Amino acid sequence: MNSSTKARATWLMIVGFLVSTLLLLTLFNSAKPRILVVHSLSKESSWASAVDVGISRVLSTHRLPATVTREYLNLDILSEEADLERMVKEVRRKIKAMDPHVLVAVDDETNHLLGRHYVDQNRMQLVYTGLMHEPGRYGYSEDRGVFGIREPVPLAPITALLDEIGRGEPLRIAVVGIDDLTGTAEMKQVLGHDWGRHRLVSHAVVPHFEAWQQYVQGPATQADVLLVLTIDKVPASAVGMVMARESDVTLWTETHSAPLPIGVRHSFVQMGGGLAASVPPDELGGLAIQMAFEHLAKPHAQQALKSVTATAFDISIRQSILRKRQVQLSEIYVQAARAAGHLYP
Amino acid sequence: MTERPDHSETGLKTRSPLSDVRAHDLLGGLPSPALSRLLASMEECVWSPGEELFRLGEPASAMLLIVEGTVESLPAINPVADLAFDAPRPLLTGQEAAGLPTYESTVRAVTTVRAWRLPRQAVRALRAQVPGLEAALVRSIGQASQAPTPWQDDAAKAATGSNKRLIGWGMALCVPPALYASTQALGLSLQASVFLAIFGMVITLWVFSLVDDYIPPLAGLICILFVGLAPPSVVLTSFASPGLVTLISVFAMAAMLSGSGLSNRVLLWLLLRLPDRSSWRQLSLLLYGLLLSFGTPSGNNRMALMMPAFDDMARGLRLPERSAAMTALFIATYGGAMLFSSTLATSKSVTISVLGFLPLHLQDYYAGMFWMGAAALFTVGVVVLHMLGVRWWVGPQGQSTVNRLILHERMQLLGPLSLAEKCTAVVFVMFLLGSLTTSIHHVPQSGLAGAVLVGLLVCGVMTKMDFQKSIDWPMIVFLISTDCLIKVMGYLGLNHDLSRALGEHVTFVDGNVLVFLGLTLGVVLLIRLLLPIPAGMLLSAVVLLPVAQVEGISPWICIFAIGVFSDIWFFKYQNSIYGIALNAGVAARIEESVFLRHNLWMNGARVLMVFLSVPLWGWMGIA
Repeated sequence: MNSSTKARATWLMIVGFLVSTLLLLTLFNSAKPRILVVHSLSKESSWASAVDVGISRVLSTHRLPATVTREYLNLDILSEEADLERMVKEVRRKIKAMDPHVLVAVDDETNHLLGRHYVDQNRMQLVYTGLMHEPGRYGYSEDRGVFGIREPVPLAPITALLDEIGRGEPLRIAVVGIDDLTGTAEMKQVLGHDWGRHRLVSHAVVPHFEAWQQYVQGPATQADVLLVLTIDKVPASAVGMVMARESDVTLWTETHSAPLPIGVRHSFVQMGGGLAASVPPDELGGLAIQMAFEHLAKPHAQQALKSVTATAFDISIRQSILRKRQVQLSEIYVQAARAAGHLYP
Repeated sequence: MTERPDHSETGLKTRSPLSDVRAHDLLGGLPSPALSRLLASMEECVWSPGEELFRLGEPASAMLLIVEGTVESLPAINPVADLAFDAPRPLLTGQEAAGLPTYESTVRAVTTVRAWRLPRQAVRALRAQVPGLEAALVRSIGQASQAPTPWQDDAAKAATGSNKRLIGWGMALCVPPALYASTQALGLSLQASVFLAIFGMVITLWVFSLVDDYIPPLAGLICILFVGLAPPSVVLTSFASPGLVTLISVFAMAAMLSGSGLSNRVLLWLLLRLPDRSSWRQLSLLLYGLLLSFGTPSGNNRMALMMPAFDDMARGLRLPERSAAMTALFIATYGGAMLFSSTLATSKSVTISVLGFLPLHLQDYYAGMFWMGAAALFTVGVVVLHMLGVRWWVGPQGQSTVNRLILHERMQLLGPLSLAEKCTAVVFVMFLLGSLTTSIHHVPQSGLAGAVLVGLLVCGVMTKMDFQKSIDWPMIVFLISTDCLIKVMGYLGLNHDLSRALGEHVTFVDGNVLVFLGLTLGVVLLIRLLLPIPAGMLLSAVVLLPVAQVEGISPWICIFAIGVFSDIWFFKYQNSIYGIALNAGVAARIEESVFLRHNLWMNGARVLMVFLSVPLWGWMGIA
């Protein structure tokens, strides 16, 4: 082989090397597992961002190359003119374009609007998380290859808290939530719970903030404690889709509630409330993404996956509020809140 | 230049210089755009017999490409130019115009001489367009034949046809997919397989020298980012480390040591002060190398800085090619560049990166006086063994004397210390003292180095152009990219797997330093068969540091031994520093077999001195 032929052959090799490398990397990239996480809330929402923290925590420990994308339906920050149907269509278009291997649908709203339309998809595994309702309500079952994590309202820990607060005396309980998927699911769990010596005297799922205020200042006053269900999507008024700010609802409730309010989200205390027992949302995100990776590791061994119910709970305490309301909790609760980083002065 | 001759009678005005330029070794290889610019400013001149083309000490205003006639050089400063010659091919002379202020010899026409005149401004205008041209021209002063074009563009170099390159590219094409498939078949995780495939590509590109050294790790990083094997914060982590500041600053200082003329002045001073004997001249080169090792963290850079000194000396001493004296002088040059690479933490840039694997307080502790003290016995030992080796392997070198008159004149030409030299000297001494006393003032080395850089920039000693052109950016990219690859390896857990796999087989170390040093020698030599010095050192550190920790061996001993053993080489491809000398045409000027034998001797000397240093380390409480 003379030198010019060798030079030409070398050029061919170089071009071949560059093209094949680019091609192989692109092929690998396109075949790389894709996970799409869809939230009903906005990225800035305290709950959704906490779910993301859990997802990121698990991702940081996983080394399997995967593309993880997050989508937010922003139901908590919708404007008056927002067209929910169009938004959902838009997200469905994105799902189709991305063609994820795993779709993680976070909370009841997302599963209602999107998740339930992706059951029985051969290529795409649906994983739900933060689901308050029974999975069957959305057509989910393990037989149909849908798995996920249910989120209970932590009623057993709340009952124990009531025992602690009541010092052995039975307490009267009022419950208020929002009349949406999450709220009704939470209320269903509350009504089905055995409260022991304590008595449920009043409960309501209200349509908007005004009704919320009326309930808190009306029927709820008969109770010793007010169980405050999820308040990240409280419509500001009877018309339109604008939501009241979560912090406004929290502060108003804490200020105007005669009975001791107990939240079921950490954000309730974070935004000015006095006491809450909640399922840690990062746990819900972490478990879901862990389940997604398990599926990706063995995509054809679905029996390996099992739906679970979250069992962990956090205690959140704002000491100044509890002092003001003359509520004293055992040191174990205070230290539990401190350990979770949920103890506020 | 003497009075310009009138060439109106030559009748040659219509000739084109292109064919003459093309026929010349150095200029013929210039890229076409550069050649085109050069042709525009060339003019033809004719000298009658006895006329001087230029005279010693005159301002070097132009180079001459002689295409007809015979010239002689007076006084001759090179045995080749000593002879009158009738050039069969175009001959370039007056290369001083490329970089020196005055001519270093007188060139006279013996017969009628016709030449193309290349004005100084035209040559210097090409500097930016053809990096390395100026250095190559200055290096070729007084040489009848010049080395092939060192600035031949990289694309052309990459496509140069040779069996080795063909095989290399073929391997680069096949190795990554083969590695991926085989590691998947072995049950390795997907991410491990992909990383090993990419790493295999990097190593193949290195082993076959298919592209410049800094390209493979950079390409590897881009591939990793492309497939998202690790988050960008991990892939690019070393680009945000204090080590980057240290590297930039130390390279900037090295550039200014050379660029300001300070290093050249020190060499001239050494040559003038030391006795005029070959052993002392060799010692002066070693001392020059020692001085450079304090501020120049790269063996490549030190070699590049020392080669002009070697050329100067060889020319001044009129040493015959392939003579024992020439070989001994080159061995001293190479020794100066290499022997002190482990004398200080900053003598080798990759040591700075490897130190980054240790906790911050240990980095500061090891980087200062401690390192110098612990490495002192080794340094003295290898220098002594080097000198003995020269006596043993090279033998008698005959008598030759340096032309002190020229040295004096050159020193006088330099004049008093310039502002740039003064500033460079001050920051150099500050950096040196600061580095050696880190354990007292606790300022991290990156802080010191950064202050030095700011000092050079604020004083205006280092201009924006210097900052762009003088710093060895490819070497910095090479080191940082390789470090990033190792970090990705750590992120994927592969280095733990590697050291765990090794750890299971090295329980025999049992805390014994000597056994550990033996293990280090084996691992480093094995890795160095595949990887260049910096990458080999980094990977060796990743593998061996955990073993040292488990076995209770001082991490300094581990890092030092890795650094020393990495300098051992048996095959030319393993050592890019010698490659610089080979590119400068050294192989034709020395008895290479003698040099290679001496290198083997020094390989042994390095190993011996590391083991002999163990009692000193025991006394210092680290062994």
